[in-house]
Amino acid sequence: MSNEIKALILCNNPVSIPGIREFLFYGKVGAIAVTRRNKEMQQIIRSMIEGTDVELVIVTKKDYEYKLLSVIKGNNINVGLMMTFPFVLTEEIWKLPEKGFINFHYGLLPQCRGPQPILWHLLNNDSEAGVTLHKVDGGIDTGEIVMQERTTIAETDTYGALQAKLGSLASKPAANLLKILSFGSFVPSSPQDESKANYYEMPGVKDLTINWEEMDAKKIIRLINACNPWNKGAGTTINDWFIGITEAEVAGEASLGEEKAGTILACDKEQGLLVKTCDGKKLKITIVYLQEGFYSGYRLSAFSITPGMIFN
Amino acid sequence: MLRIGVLLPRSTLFPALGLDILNGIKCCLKYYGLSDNIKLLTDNIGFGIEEAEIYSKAEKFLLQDDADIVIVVADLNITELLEPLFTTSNKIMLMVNMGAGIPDKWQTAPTTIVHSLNLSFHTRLTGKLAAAENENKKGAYTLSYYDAGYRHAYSMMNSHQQNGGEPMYTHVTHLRAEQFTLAPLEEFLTIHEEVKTLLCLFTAEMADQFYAAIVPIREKLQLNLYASPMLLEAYPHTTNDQEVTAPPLKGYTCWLPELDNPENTVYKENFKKTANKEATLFGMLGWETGLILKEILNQYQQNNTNAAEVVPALCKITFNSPRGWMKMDQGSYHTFSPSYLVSWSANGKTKEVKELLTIENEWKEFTAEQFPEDTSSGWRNTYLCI
Repeated sequence: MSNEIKALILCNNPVSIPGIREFLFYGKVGAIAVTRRNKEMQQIIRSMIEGTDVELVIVTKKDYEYKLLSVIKGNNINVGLMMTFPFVLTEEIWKLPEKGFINFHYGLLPQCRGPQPILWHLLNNDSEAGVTLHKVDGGIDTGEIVMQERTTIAETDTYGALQAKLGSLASKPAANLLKILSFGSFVPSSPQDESKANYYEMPGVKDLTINWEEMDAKKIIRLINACNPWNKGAGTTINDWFIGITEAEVAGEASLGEEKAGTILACDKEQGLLVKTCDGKKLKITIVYLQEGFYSGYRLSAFSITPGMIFN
Repeated sequence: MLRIGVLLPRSTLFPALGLDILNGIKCCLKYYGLSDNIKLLTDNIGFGIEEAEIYSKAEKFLLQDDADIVIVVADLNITELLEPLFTTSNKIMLMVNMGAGIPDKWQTAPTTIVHSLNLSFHTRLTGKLAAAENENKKGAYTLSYYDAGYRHAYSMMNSHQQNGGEPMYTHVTHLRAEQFTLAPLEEFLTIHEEVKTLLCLFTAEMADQFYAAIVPIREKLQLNLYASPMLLEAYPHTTNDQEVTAPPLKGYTCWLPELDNPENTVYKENFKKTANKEATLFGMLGWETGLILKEILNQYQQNNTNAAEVVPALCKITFNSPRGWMKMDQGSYHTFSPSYLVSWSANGKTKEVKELLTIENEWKEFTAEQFPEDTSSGWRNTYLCI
């Protein structure tokens, strides 16, 4: 490769591992920074860089600016890669490496900006998700796009499954980015179409709670999948008791009747836990999360949950 | 005037490959009176394996030579690396190759066109045919070591199996021609007499060796042979209608010199004038590339100079091609054309050519399938460029 590349990688989530592996494979990493809180990532990165000259930099919110500036200068870093990093980079940092900083955003840009794109792709019922590599500028996920890789969201994709899919999807653009950095005289990029831009904040409780009156079976299942595994399930209440629904499936049409959406139609071992949805489907809740642990849905009967009661 | 950069490969298997493509482009532009409107800038990219060289030459065409379009005669594995360069500069990249690959994803960049001979598509059709025609679904595959390293091999075998074919044996030759032998295949087929279907994938020198070796085996075991497009291309022929030593076989292919359509006639006449030799498959690929350039120029002349708008506009056109017609798939910006079933009788006595009438549906099915995401290996050089 013609231009010598030495990268600083900033990461905080295992989704970044396949991308990091590409850069490590070609020996183009000078240092990797991980937050002090994230012991799991520290352990993973340590095992990945064992026997190499790559420096592991542990940072906190208080010291990351100083430490990153110092590692860029001290290790002759000429490109920075952000692969899920919780702290905003100052202009002094992102402008310091000769080739700037590139962010790996595990979502499609410009339509899904913000800190939780994987979750929002699921919550928005998007048919596609993806990985976008863009230049870091002063904004959050606003920089010029270098490349984007898309994938279809399967109906059965949970947050965890989609995250793993996107992590693996990122390895090819990571390899191509490395080649572009090495072969080219510049990193080609195009401005984002601001008319299509959306910024999504961290989700609130309401975003993660089932609205039985308004959400059809498909949307409820998407929400449940979006909350699995990190939130243990989508929230709902019954008799002022909060539970998480971790897994569910459509089990046919509900019979015509006056029951409200959210009404429990069955709760026994034979039929399982069946709930009516607003579009007239029977939703079979197979796994629930209670403070006591994860249970099969029908086992709510042991907690005096019976047909006719209503989730709200 | 449009400035077109052309990155051409080198081939020892087919030394004239790059030149034929270039001559095909040139004689098409000349025939349509466009030589003065288009300036071709050429450079060589070897066997298409040096990514750094290809990238820097493409970048040079765009930045220093101010090219409007760059034609890259290379395989698909280089496409994704080059795409950001063209998307950013809003210039058209016209990838031209044999189509022996299958993209990891059919999704493409807004200014990238892929134009090919669609070899993987045709081997897929042949695999399907072999499964459909034989009640006994047991089949064997024989491939050259070289051909086995491209996805057209996967395409043929997968299609045979997806359509009910039962794979019993895969025979891959040695890499070197002097080590060529069909003995292990013959041994297997002799022991397993119930296997009568043999799908064959060879090209160039090994295609000649295959034809010489397979004749007695086929006669002895009464095999039904199905051939890849490049193997059909290499079918032994004479100029004086004498019999040749060759087996009866059949398979789908993209183009034949004798296709009876006006564009093929003008292509053959003009290629002969320019290149001083009979029309070739690679020259035809170049001629079609010229047809695409002609339509791009037409768009530019209608003041549509935005590459990201020119490319989708081309999807609305049905090109008159030496293959009959050519269209651009609006989902992937890959070109596709008719497929012809060629059936040779024994010793090359008769040759029957039949156009497949369900081509659009077949193409839809082909592009709807995704290449398996599991790790796979294969040759990195452009097919036929070795």
